[in-house]
Amino acid sequence: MGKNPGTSHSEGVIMSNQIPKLLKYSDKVLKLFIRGELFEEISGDLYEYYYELENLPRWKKTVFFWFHVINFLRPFAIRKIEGTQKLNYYGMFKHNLLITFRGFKRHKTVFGINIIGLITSLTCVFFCALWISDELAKDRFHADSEKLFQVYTKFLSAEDTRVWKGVTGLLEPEIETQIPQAEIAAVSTDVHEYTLSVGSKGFKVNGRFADEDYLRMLNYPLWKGNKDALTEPSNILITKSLAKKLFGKVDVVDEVIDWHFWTTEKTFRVAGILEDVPSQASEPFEFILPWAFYHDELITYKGWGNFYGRVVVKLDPDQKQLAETKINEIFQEKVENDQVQLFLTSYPDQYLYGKYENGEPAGGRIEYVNLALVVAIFILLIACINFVNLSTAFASLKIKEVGVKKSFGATKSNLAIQFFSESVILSAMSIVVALGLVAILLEPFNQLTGKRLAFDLNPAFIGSALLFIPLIGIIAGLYPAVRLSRTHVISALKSKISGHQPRGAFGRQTLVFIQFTLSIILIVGTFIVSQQMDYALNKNLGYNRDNLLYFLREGRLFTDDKAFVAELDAIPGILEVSRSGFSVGPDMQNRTAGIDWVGKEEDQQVTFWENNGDAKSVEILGLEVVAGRDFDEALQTEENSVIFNETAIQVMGMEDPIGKTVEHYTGKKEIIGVVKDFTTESLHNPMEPAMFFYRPERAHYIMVKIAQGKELETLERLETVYKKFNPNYPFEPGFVDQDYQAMYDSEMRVAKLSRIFSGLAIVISCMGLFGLTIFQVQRKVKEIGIKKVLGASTWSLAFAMTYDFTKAVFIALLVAIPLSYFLSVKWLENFSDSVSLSWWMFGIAALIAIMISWLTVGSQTLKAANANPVDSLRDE
Amino acid sequence: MGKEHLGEFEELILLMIMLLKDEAYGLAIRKELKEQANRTVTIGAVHGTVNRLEKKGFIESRLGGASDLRGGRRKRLFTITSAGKSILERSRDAKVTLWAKIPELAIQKG
Repeated sequence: MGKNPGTSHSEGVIMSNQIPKLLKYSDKVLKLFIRGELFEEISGDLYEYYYELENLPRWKKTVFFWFHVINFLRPFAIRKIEGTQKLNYYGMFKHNLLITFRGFKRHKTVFGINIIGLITSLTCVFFCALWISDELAKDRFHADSEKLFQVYTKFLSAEDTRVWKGVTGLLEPEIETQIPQAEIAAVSTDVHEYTLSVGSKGFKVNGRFADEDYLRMLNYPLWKGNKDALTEPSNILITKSLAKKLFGKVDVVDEVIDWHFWTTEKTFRVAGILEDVPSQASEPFEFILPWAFYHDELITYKGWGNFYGRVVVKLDPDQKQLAETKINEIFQEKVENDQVQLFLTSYPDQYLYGKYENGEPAGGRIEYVNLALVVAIFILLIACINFVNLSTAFASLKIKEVGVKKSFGATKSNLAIQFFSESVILSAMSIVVALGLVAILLEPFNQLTGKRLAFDLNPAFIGSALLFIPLIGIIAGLYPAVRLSRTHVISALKSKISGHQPRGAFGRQTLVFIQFTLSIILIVGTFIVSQQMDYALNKNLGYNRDNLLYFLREGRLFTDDKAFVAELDAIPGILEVSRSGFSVGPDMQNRTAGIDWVGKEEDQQVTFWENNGDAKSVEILGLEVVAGRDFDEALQTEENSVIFNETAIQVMGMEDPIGKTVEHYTGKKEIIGVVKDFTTESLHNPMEPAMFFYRPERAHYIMVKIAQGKELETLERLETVYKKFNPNYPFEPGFVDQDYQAMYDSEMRVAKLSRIFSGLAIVISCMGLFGLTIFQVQRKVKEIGIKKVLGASTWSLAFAMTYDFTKAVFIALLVAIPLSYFLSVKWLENFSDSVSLSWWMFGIAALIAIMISWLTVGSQTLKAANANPVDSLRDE
Repeated sequence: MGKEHLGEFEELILLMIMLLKDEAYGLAIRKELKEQANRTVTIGAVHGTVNRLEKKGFIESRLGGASDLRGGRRKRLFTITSAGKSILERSRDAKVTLWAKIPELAIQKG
C-alpha cells in the first residue's frame, strides 16, 4: 500500500494499453456530474488509486473504487446548474408562443410583410433548389457514373481549336482489346429523329444506335428481353411508352417495326422492351437500334479519319491519364496526324461542362446553375433583411415588454430565446406555405423551364426544407435577439434603446442599401438578358428565315424528287422549292476540312461549313451574291462549281476568287460566286467559312419558301402532295425561324425566369421599405403635426421623412450599377455578336428602382403629411 | 486575520503538503496522511479540502506530471504559499502559548 507513486510507473505502462472497463465507466459518471475543470485531476487520481488496489479481490476493488468515486459528490466538485434554466421550460415556451401570436395579431402589417416576403422568397428558393438539383443529377443515375468517360476529339489549329464528341467507331474494339484499364467500353451514336412505322402509321421518334455494351454500362434497364439483343443487326429495343404509342400495348416482343431514314428502309424485330428513359438522362431516346447494323450497312467509309461514333469508356478515374495516353497512341498509329488528339471527359460532367472554347473547357450549363444559386441567395437575403429591419424597427414598441420582463428577473438568454422563437415560428409557417405553393406552381414552372421536375416529398427534400426553419429563424432573429436582450432595464422601461438609436437607424439604412443593391443588380441583369435576346432573335442573320420550312427527304422524296419538286412548284402559295442541306441546328450540319487551294500552308487546317443542294439552295435563303454569279440549272457543269462566303475567301487569302479552283475531296471545283456572310448556327459562334455545292442528290432536305398570308392553306396543300408521295410517313415540317429560336432556348428560359425573379426581388424589397415607412410615420406622427402647425409644407415634410431611405437607395445605385455593368459585360462575352451596352439601360434600371422606392415610401409619407395636425396632436 | 480560520484537518493537510514538497497532489497527500498521521480519508475529502485551501490562498497549484498510470491525466501539484506558512506558524504558536500556560493542569489530570 505504501508505495511511492514515482516507483509504480513500470506497472502502469503494462496496464495502460487496456484501460479497464471500470475506469471507463467511472470517467463517464464523473463527466456527468463533475465540473469540467476538475475532471482531469480527479480522474487521474482515481486511475492511480485503482492500480493501488490491484492485489485485492475483484469485488473489493469495485466497491472501494466506487465508494471513492461517489464520494466526490461534494458541493465543490459538482457542476453548477445555472439559474432559472431548468425551471419553467414549458411555461416559458407557452408564454413565448402566446406573445408571438399576439404580436402577429397586433402588428398585422409588419407580420404580413414579413410572412409574404418570406413565403415568396422561399418559394423561389425551393424552385431554384429543385432546378439546380435536377441539373446536377443529370446523367448521374448510372451505376459508377464517376467512372464513365466519354472520348472526345480535339482538332488543333492555330486559329481555332475545335472540340468534337465524335470519334471513329473503329476505336471502341481497340480500346477493349488493347487497354486493360478499361473495364468496359461502348459505342453509340447521338440521339436523332427517325421515322418509325407500323403498318401504314408513321411516327417521328428519337432513337440512337448502340452496341450491347452500352446497356451493360449505362442504367437503361430492360423490362423484357436481354441486353445481347443488340448483337443481332435486325433487332430493335423500344421503350414501354413507345410500345404503347405504336401498338397500343406494352408487351410487343416479336412484333415488327419499319425504320426509315433518308433512302434506307429496314424492318426490325422488337427483341426487348426498355423501361422509359428517366428524365435525368440528358439525351432521352425511345428506341435503340444495333450498332452492328449502323456500322456495317450505313457507314460506307470506315476510316480513322471519320468521326461518326461516340465512345464511352468505364475505368478507374486514377487510370484516366494513362488510358488517355494509350488511346492517343492507338489513334496516332493509325492516322499519323498530330493535329488531331483524343481525350477523355467525365461522362456525367458533359452536360454541365459541355462548352469548349479554343479547345479548352469553358463552362457550359453550370453557369446557369451558378446563376440560379446566386439569385436564390439574393432573394432569400432580401427577405431576411426585411425581417431584421422590421423587427428592429418595431423593437422600440416591444422595449417596455423587455424592461418589465427584465425587472422580473428574465435573463438575456430568456429574452433572446423569445425573439428567436418568434422568428423560428414565422419561418416555420412560411416554409409550410412555401412548400404548398411549390406543389401548386410546379406545373407552370415545368412549362417555363422545360423540365420534368417532380415534387416528391422524399425525406432528403423534406429534411433540407426543415433545415431552413432554424436557419432562417436564426439569420432573421439574430439581430433583434442580441440587440434587444442587451438593453438595460431602466432605459428599457423608459422606452428608449439608450444610445443605440442612431446606430439602429444607420444599421437599417445599411440593410436597405444591401437590399436595393441586390435588386438593382437583378433588374439590370434581367434587362440586359432581355435586350440581348431581342437582339439575337431579330438580328439580320444574313439569310431570310421567314416562312421558310423544310422536311427530311425520305422514301420517294429521294427517288422521285424531281417530280415532287415540280408538283410543289405548281402550288400557288409556294414561292420557291429547293433541295438543300441547310439546317440551323449543329446536329445535321456538314463540316469538312477536306479543302485544298493554291497557297494553303502545310499545317493549315480550316473547317468549312458545307451545303449540298440544288441550284436554288442559295437563292431560297435570300443570300446576297456579292461577286460572280449564283448556280444556274441550265448549265450542265454546275457539279464542278462552288460558291463561298466572304469569310471563306478571306481565310483562303484570295484576292480575285472568281474563276479560281479549289480541291474538294470530291474533285476540282471552280469558284463561280461569293455570297455575303451569314450566321451558320447562332450568335454564340463566330462567322465561319462556308461553301455551297451543286449536288442535289446529296441534299438532306426539301426546303420550301411559302408566301405570306396564305400559310395554312399552302401547308395543307403541301401535305396532300407529300402524302401522295409518302403515305407511310408523318408530315412534320420544321420551320427555320423556330429552329433558330430553339438555339436560344436556354437563354430565353433564363430571361423569362430572371424577369420573374428580379420582379419578385424588387417587390419584396419595396414591401420592406413600405413597412419601415409605416413605422417611421407612426413614430413621428406628433413631430409631423407640430411641424405642420408651425407651417411646414407637405412636400418638405415628405422629403424630410424619406430622406434617409432615398439616400440608401441612391448609394445602392452607385454601387450596383458599376457592379452590374461588370457582370453584364462578362455575360455578353458568351456571344460573338452582342448588343452594345449603353448608359440608358442602366438609367432605366436606376429609374425603376428610384421610382418604385419613392412610390412605396411616398404614398405613406404623403398621407401622413396631409393629415390634419389636430388629429395627431389630440390623441392624448 | 480573524476570517482566516484553519480547521484541524486543513492544518494537517497543509503540513502534509509541506512534507511532500514537489510531490503534493491529491492521492499522495492521502497516502501521506495515512502513513504519518494514521488517518484514512476518501480521495474526495482530500480534494475538497485542498480546493478550499486554495480558495483561501494558503496553497497554490499547477498541473503537471501526467503518466500512463494516470491514463495520461495530469496531477494538480500543490505548494504552500507564504500566507499558508504564516497561518501554520500562528496556529502552532497559539497552541504552544496555550500549552505553556497550563503545564501543571495537564500534569495533574494526566
